[in-house]
Parts: sequence; structure tokens; C-alpha cells
Amino acid sequence: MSEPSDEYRPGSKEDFDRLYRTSYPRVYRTLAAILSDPEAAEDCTQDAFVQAFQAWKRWRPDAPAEAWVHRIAVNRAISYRRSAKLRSLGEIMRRLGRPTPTADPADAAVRSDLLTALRALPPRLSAAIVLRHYHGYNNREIAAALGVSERTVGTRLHQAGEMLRVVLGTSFQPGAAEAFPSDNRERYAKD
Amino acid sequence: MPKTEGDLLGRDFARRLRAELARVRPRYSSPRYMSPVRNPLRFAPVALCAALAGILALSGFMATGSPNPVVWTQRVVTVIEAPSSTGAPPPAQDEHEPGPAAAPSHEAESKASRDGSEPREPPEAAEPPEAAESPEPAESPEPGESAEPTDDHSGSGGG
Repeated sequence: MSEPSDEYRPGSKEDFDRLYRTSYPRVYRTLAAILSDPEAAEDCTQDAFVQAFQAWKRWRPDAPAEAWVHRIAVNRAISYRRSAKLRSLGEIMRRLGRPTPTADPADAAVRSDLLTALRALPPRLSAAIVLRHYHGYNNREIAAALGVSERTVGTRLHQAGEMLRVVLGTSFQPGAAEAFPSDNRERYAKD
Repeated sequence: MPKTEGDLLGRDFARRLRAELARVRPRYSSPRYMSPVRNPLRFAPVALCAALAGILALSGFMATGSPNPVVWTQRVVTVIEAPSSTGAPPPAQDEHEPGPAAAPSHEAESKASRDGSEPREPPEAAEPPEAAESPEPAESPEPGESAEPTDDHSGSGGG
């Protein structure tokens, strides 16, 4: 995480502005790995910060602020994907007989095999993968971000690793459970 | 630096993930949390009350033809009193009601005769006697059905 949580004061507008500036791109990229639509990622990220701002006075520094925002954002993304599933049938019916809409070139950069595979995972699994391998969270921080136990985090990382290994083939090797060490924390991404 | 199997696998995957996500450009729009709270349901109670008041006023105007709320309340009192008086058909009460009901009617007639030269102020005051007159149609068929009123008349005539 980019800054220690004790630097933030609950209820402080200035501190929340700083948290927004620091965490927005990281939270956005997390949701971009979960959601296939960049607009949805932006929308959910903004909604997450709105919710976080409304609850900012009640935030307790016992958990890192960015992990707290991540928790809200991931939950928001899960809700979005759940509702998107319900909308998908209607979308299919509406687009029947119409030409396929042209893809936005800006969105094409977001699409890749890896991200496609990530987005195919259940959002809780893909969130755990991104928090570990992109943000460099350890199991305790992922547990705080997802609101689950560290044991559950290990299980989710294992399941996600197995599924990604099947989809991506050579990217993962046997022993995926050991590919997600819980003790060795590395910071892969520094925004 | 010792490298574990987990580090190698993790770094390989992480490198790819970093490269892919680095191409994702965050869309920066104005922070939504800084905009004023727009709760669409914030004015719902006010709108509901205004709608109810409007419906009430419209129905009151339609029923009475007057935009004056005082007239509406009087009309409501009149309408409520009328069914309550007509809806009491027990004959035991009918024996006592004709007296009080007849008295106001005479008073109303006398008032009407007196107010013939006066301006239009009394009509509002004359409305309550109209409410008292309304029970008369309900009373007239009932005495015909029962023989009790005839006994009263015979008794009064004989005495």
C-alpha cells in the first residue's frame, strides 16, 4: 500500500482528498481487471469513493485506508457484475439482428488474454489475484480488503491460480498454491 | 538473493499483469464524492404532501364549487352528519327525533322569512338546518309503516 494508514485522519476532508489522489488509479486498475467495461470500472470506482467518503468519519485506522476503499470497490464491482448478468439477456435480445457495434480503439488496449482470463474468473478470485500480484498485498491485507479471513484468501488464491493455469497454459506451473506466498510481501506496482 | 519457486512464478505472472494493467489508463473524471449529494428521494416526502394537498384541493373544489377551504369543511360536516342521521333507523329513536328535527325546520323557515330582506350572509348559517331537514325523507316512510305514530296522534288528539 502506498501510505501508512496512520497518516489518515478519519473525517478529514484533506486526508480523503489525498487518499483519492493516491488510490484512485490503483483502485481503478483493480476494477479494470475485474470488469470488462472501462466505463463500468470508472463508475464503480467513483461510487466506491462516494461510499467511502460518506463513511469516512467512521473509518478506523486499524485497517489500511486503501484496503478499506478496495473492499468497498470490490463489493461494488461484484454487485455490478451480478446485475450485468441479469442485463445480459436483455442486451442480447436487443442486439439481435443489428450490426455489431464497432469497438472503441481505446478499449482495445484494455483487452488481452491475461485480462480476459482474469475477468472470466469470479470477481472475488480475480480481486485476490490483482491485489496480490499487482498491488503486492500480503494475505492479511487482502483479507482486510476483501473482508474475509486469511485462510479464505489462501483458498481463493489457490483456486484462482488453478483456473488461470488452465486458461493461460504456460503462465502457471504446478504448485500454484505455493505461487502465492503469504509471508513474502513484494511491491510490484508503485503508482 | 534467494528465489523461491513461488517468487519466480509470482514474478512471472506479476510482470505480465503489470504490463497489461499499465496499459490501462485510468479515466479521470471529477471526483464524484465532491459534488453535492443528489439524493433523488430527498424531496419525495415534500412532493408527496404537495400532491396529496393538490388532489384534496381539487376534489374539494370539484365537490363544492368553491375555492374556500372553509366551505369544504362545512360540506364535509354536512355530508358526514347526513348519513349518520339517516343511518339510525331504530324506531325507538325515531319517536324522539321528529321533535328536534321539526323544530329546526320551523326555525329555519322562520329565519328564512326573516332573512328575506337581509343580504347573503345567512346561507352559510342556514346550512346546518338543511342538514337537519335531510332526515325528514327517511322519517316519513317509517312512520307510515309502523302504527306507533298514529297512536301518538290519537292520544294527543283525544287528550
